[in-house]
Parts: sequence; C-alpha cells; structure tokens
Amino acid sequence: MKIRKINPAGQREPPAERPIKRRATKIHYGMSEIVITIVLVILALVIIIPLVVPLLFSFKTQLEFAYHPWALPKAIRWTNFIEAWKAVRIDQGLLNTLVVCFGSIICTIPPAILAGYVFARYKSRVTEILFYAILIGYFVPVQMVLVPLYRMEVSLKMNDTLYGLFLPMAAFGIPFWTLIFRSFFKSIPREMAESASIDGAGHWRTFFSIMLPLARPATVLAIIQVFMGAWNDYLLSLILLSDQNKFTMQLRVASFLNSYGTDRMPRYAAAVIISALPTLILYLIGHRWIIKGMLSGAIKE
Amino acid sequence: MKKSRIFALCFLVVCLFSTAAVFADEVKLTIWGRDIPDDSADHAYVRALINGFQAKNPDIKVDYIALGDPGLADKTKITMASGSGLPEIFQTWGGSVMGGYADAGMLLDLTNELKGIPGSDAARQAMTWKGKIYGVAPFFAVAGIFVNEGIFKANNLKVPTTIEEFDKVCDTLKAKGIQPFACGEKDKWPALALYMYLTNRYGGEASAKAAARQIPYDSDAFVKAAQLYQSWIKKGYFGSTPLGEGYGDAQQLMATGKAAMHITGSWMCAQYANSEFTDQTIGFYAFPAFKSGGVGSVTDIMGQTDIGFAATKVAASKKDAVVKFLKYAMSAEACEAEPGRICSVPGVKAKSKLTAQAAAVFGTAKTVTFWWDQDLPPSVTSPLNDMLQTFFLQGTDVKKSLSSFEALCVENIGPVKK
Repeated sequence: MKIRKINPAGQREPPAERPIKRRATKIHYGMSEIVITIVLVILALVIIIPLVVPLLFSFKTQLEFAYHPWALPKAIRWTNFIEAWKAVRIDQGLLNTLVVCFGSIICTIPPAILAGYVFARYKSRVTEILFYAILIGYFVPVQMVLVPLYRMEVSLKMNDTLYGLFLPMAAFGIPFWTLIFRSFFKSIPREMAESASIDGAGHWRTFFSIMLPLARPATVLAIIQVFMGAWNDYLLSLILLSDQNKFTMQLRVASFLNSYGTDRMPRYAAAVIISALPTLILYLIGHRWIIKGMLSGAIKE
Repeated sequence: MKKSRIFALCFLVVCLFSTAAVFADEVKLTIWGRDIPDDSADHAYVRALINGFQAKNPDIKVDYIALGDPGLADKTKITMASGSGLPEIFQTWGGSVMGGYADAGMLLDLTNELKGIPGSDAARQAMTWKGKIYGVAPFFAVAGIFVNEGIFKANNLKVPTTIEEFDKVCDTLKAKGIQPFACGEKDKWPALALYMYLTNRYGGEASAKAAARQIPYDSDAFVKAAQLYQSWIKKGYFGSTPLGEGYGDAQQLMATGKAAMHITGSWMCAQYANSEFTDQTIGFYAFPAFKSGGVGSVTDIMGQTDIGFAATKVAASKKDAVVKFLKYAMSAEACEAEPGRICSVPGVKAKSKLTAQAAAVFGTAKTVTFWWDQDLPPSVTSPLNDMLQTFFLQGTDVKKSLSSFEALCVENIGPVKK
C-alpha cells in the first residue's frame, strides 16, 4: 500500500523528484569552436606571458639573461630579489601606498555617489549647471595642471604629505565617478524611490536604505578602479612627494629601475615582481568578491 | 623635596634648550640625484659622496633623494617651472637645460666660490652658462667606439683609423654574420653620437655655427653626414631591425658578442669592463676622421657632463654648506670610488683599462662639442632626435628631414644671420 502525504490544504504533494544524474556535456568541436578556443588561448597567453616572463628573468644572472633570455633559469637565485627588496623598501612603500589608496577611495567615492544621486534624481537648472561644471574637471589632464598644483601644494604646505597626494587624486577622480553614478542612478526606476516615499521614507532614508544598496555593483567597480589608479600612480607621486620616507611603492620601484636602467633586466624583473605581489595577493584573497561585484552590474532586470 | 623638583625642572629646561640649539645649528641640504646610493658598483661614487660628506660634516644633514633618470628630469622641470619646493642641489648634465633654469632665475651663481676648483675645462664649461658658474661636474662622458677586440682579432680586422675604412670592416663582419654596429635606435637619442661625429668630420665646427645661426641645419655638412649614415643603415651595418632595438638591447648585443662596435658615451665603461655584465674583451677608441676631404679631426670630441651638480636659488641662505658639498663632490677622496667614469678632477686614476682608454681619448681632445640634445634649446631637442630616427626608415629623404628641422630652428632659435 502506497501512502501519499496530504498537505493541510488537502492537496496531494507531488512525488519527490528523482535526483538528476549529471552527465558531462558533450562538446562537439566544430570549426567555429576550434577557432574560438584558439582565440581564447591566445588571449589568455597575452595576459599570462607578461606575468610569467619576469619570473623567468628574475632568477638569472645578467650574463645568463644576455645569452639566453627566453630559456628557463639554470638555477634559482634570490640575489636579484634581495637587491631589489633592499632598494625598493617594500615595507614603508606598501604602507604609504595603502594610505594613499584608501585615502583616495574615501575621498572619491562617497562624494561621487552623493553627487551622482543628486544629479540623477533632483533635476533642476542649478543641478544641471553644477553637473556640467563638475564634468569640466574630467576633461582636464593631470599633466596640464602639474605646475599650478605643485605651487598650490607648496603654499598650503601640503606637498610631501600623503593627504597632499590622495586629495588631488580624488579631485581628478570625482568628475568621472560622478558621471558614472549619475548614469547608474538614472537607470534605476523612479518608482522605487516614489514607493519608498509613500511608505514614509525621507530623502536620506531612501538614499541609504534603497538606492545605496542598489548601487553596490557600481560602488565595487569604483572602489577597484580608484584603488588601482592610486596604486599605479607615478606622475603625481613623483612631483608631489620629495621625502623618501613618504615614497609610494611605484615611486620606489621606478627610482630603482630608472637608476639601473634596463641594462640590469634580471634585477629589474625582480623589482617588478615585488611591486606587483601585493596586488596579486589582494586579488587572490578577494577575487570572488571582486568578480561578483563586477558581474552583478552587468545583469539588469 | 621642593629643591630637588626645582633642580630637575631647571635641568629639563637646560636640556631642552641645548637640544634645540643643536638642531638649530644643523643645516639641512636636500639633494635630488639620479642613482640610488646602494651597494652596486655603478653607484659607488654617489654612495661615497653622500656617506663621506656626511661623516666629515656632521653639522650638515644631507637628504639625498634618488629619482632615476627620467624621474629626476621631470621633477626638476616641474619644480623649476613652479619656482617653489626646490631642493638646494640637483644633479644635472649642464648645458642649455641648466641654462634655461639659470635664465629663469632659479639657480645660484657660484662663480666666485667655484672658479678656483681644479678640474677639466670642458667639465667647467658644461656647468657654466653665460659666463656664470652654477655647479660642478666631477665626471665627464665622451663618445667613442666601443670595439669587441676579440671579434676583431678572430677576423684579422683592425680598428678603423679613417672613416673610409669602416665599409671594409663592416662588410667583413656582416659576411661573418656579426652585426657591425649596436645602436638601440628605438630610444632615438642613441643615434646622435655617430651623427654628431660624421657632421664634425665633414664640416668641422658646423654644429656650433648652426647653433649660432651662421649656417642652416640643412647645409652641406649636415646633409652629407646624414647621407653617409643612411647608406650605412641601408647596407645593414646596424642590423636588420635597428628600430626594434632599444639602448638596453644594443648593450646586450655587445655584451654577448653579437655586435662588434658600439658608438656611444664612455658611461658604458663600467658595464663593458664588468665580468658579470659581459664575457667579451671590449676596448674604447676615438672616432676617426676622413683620410681625405674632411674638415674635423680625430681630436674633435663629442661629449658632456656625466655626473654634475648645480645649486638652486633656495641654497642662497646655506651657501657655505652648499659650496662645501660641491667642493667635496670634486674631491679626489669622493671621486676615487668611481669604477667606470672619466673623472674631471686631476690626479684621480681610472680604475679599469677601458676607462683609462676613454680618459686617454678625452685627454687628447682639442675641442669638445656638447650633446646637441642637451645643448640646443629644449624646444628643438626632441624633434632633433625624432628626425634622427627617420634616417632609419626606408625611403627617407634626409635633405627634406633636415630642411624641416631647420624650419623648426628658425621658428625657435631664429633665422640664419646674413
């Protein structure tokens, strides 16, 4: 006798689904698949080779590199890393760079989100004029304002300070990210804010409880981009910092490399690896989070 | 108890004041340089200079900041343009770049303080602008031919003593599969040394006359030199892909014996004499003259400051300390640490055979022409190097390229005086 469960509503429950046997999907390799695979492999190599090649170089002596640049190193030598490590002073440089990166993120993203939201939601003649006034900053290249910027920083005694570096970075970043956040908030249906308003939410509540969580994909993207921009900055750091204790990683690596030139390629490669290592570690720790954040921005309902 | 407290307070105050007095007496000199003062042999002079000066002058605090090659130039340019945040001393090659800063009133005239320092005339001249001395040049670089003596010996070749002999030597080397010249023209400036020599050998003081606007840059000597240069390029003397090789690649070609000659500055002596850098036997020779039909002679040398320091206007209040530093930079004690550069200080002997050869070439110099890309106004130096790169392109009409450059010089320096 078969017993069938009956739920409180008197309906029979559907029979339990049989577990689906997962079978490996057979891929039929046609001409197009082969071409796509080849293209993807080439693209992957384009990314991977520049990461692997410096590693090969860095274990070689100068002569070994000169004669056999593309061969595998004959022995694993750490001399180049030790030399580069001493010169680059990664500890101090890393700390300074992190301060600059986080300072830049904190000073760029919150103002850009707020400004972007206001320009998207509260349209008036004043906000439109303000938006285009801010946008002008996007079209001003850093190189063009280096001299007056340096002069201003010296007169404000801001040169040779880390905040004197990340504040201009934020000033150059805010117009672009305001534009991005404005477009993002514009794409969110107006009805959502209106229903929040009907439910009694004020401007701040609507922004913080409804809009800001929705802007997470754009925010994650902005954090990554601003972080990378500050991490890789060389020009502003070179001009605005003169105290070696305040030097960022990129500046230290560049000073090291420029002082040796590419005629010391193995040592150069070791310095490049040392400078890239913290970002690689950061990516390995947070890659799922980063990819999730970036992909969620690509899906719209 | 009360007395002891008062005594302790007085002691503290005295200590504080004396510490303040010690710090007040200390002078701080900020110096922007190119090389890191680390353990590398290439940076031995900078290390000896900073450490030696600091040990001898504990009352002067030296804050030496290494910025590398383009970094130093870029930062100096921006700070000089803004006129603020300047260091007391900066490393420079002198010439028109330093002259531009002097014209803008950014440098400190130290003629009276530095004119008595012993050193080569050429080095002093490089740090002089419009009759005023702004700094010192303890090391001087000259261009010549680095020759792989092992390759020459193995192929029974002799180092050319006339320009006419180059063709035969280069053809033999090419036939043996060896690139005659390493250049590194991807980086543009490496082609300049040879072009300067060829122009001098055809036209003597042509470059000085052109800079003084007495003759144009598309006059006979410049065109002939460019045509000869281009004919060597077409014959493959610079390899099959000269524009694909940077200066670092040129060094590798020499270091591994793939190229037989490298016409460049004597700053390469340290590397080419270093057994960790190359296992080849390399010598340094003066660039020859024409056997017949030329004007310039083998004693006309191209070169400029290798390491130089100049003082800025902010050093005015610390003049004594700055002069002390510059004099120490020109001392035998500091200069003797350098393994590979030509020292302008008398009595400092070269550390390697290669440097001694380069120093000997410098010693024979009757005239020294400074690098055009350092001595001409900055507005024409980049176009000059761009133009040199076009010589390496197939089908370039060098006469037209020179005429375009001349038009630019008319615009930026002035027309030829009649």
